[in-house]
Amino acid sequence: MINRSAHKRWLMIGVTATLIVGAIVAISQFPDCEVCQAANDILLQGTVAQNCTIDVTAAAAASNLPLTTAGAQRVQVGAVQQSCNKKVGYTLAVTSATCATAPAGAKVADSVSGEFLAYSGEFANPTTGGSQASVTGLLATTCTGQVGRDVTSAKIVGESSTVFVNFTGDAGLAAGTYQDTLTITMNVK
Amino acid sequence: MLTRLKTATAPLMIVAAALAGTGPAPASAQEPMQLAQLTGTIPLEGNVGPVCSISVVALPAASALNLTGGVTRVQVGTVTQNCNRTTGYTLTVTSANCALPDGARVARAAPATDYLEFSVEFDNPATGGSTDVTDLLDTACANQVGRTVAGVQVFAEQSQVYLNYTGSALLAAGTYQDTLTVTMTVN
Repeated sequence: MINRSAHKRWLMIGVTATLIVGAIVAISQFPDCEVCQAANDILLQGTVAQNCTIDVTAAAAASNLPLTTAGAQRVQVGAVQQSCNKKVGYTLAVTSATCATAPAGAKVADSVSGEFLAYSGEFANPTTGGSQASVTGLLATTCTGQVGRDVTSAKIVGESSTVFVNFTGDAGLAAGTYQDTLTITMNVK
Repeated sequence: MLTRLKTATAPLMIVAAALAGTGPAPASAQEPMQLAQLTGTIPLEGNVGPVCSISVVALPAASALNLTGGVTRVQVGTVTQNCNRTTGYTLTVTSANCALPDGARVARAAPATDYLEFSVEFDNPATGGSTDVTDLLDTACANQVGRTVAGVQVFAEQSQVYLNYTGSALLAAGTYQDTLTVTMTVN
């Protein structure tokens, strides 16, 4: 027979033991305080997929270059329409199919006569995202790492860069068809 | 209180699993791994048309031939040539009075039986495999090629045109004439 005082003592021991066990369980499941804080949060999350594209359009003049017209020539050969929702930005790099053939540098070449005319690329850009309005001398002597536009920390929607080629006409070129292909690549950062 | 804590463990475990790569990853964790790369091309082309020409200049000696002086070699003209076609060209020569079997000749207008035979010689630059050519129009009137150029462009090169003949003191008095025509045929 347990008296009231003894029963009260046993009850207090039981409650204390329950609290200690509960605390141990809680600590073992959530060992740090951040979790305790997160327990009261509702995580909301949505995802916007990356959507970056370019659309390269060749101008009519690209296939009718005035190769024998005397003096410095600057011809618009195409446009690069760009959209990119990734705000870290991107670069537009340009390569030439004939560039690596000696002498290094972009050139339109006639496969029959073996003659060529050297040129350089130029990008005229919107200035969004810190882009340079004009980038010249591309591919003049170097075939890799030629960046026509560099966009940083900006979302681009439907902007267009204009691509030019610069060369000096040569009336002494052999008769023939002179060709090259520029390839423009968007590299998202 | 315990119920709230158990419910709260769900997002924690999902995030941990995603970070460990063992569960579905949220886009924010996956995006830095992507390197989107898009390309487009611009074909470039220019055409250079054939520009080929000759300029034939007659020398004064051409109209003052010494027809009675024995073996004679006299320069009568020059042919200046330009051609930007690397496939080359030929220069052919014809004579207005050429007739077989004697070939080219300078002749009196009347009677046409009075004439002096000659042959033509082209002295050429060596560009494009060209060589000097003699005895043109000597025994033939057609397909007489004075120069053949292959595989190169030619800028302002000059061929010298000579006549070779043996003069005759027996020729009847009169004016003896012929006309040479030089034609460039581009390959």
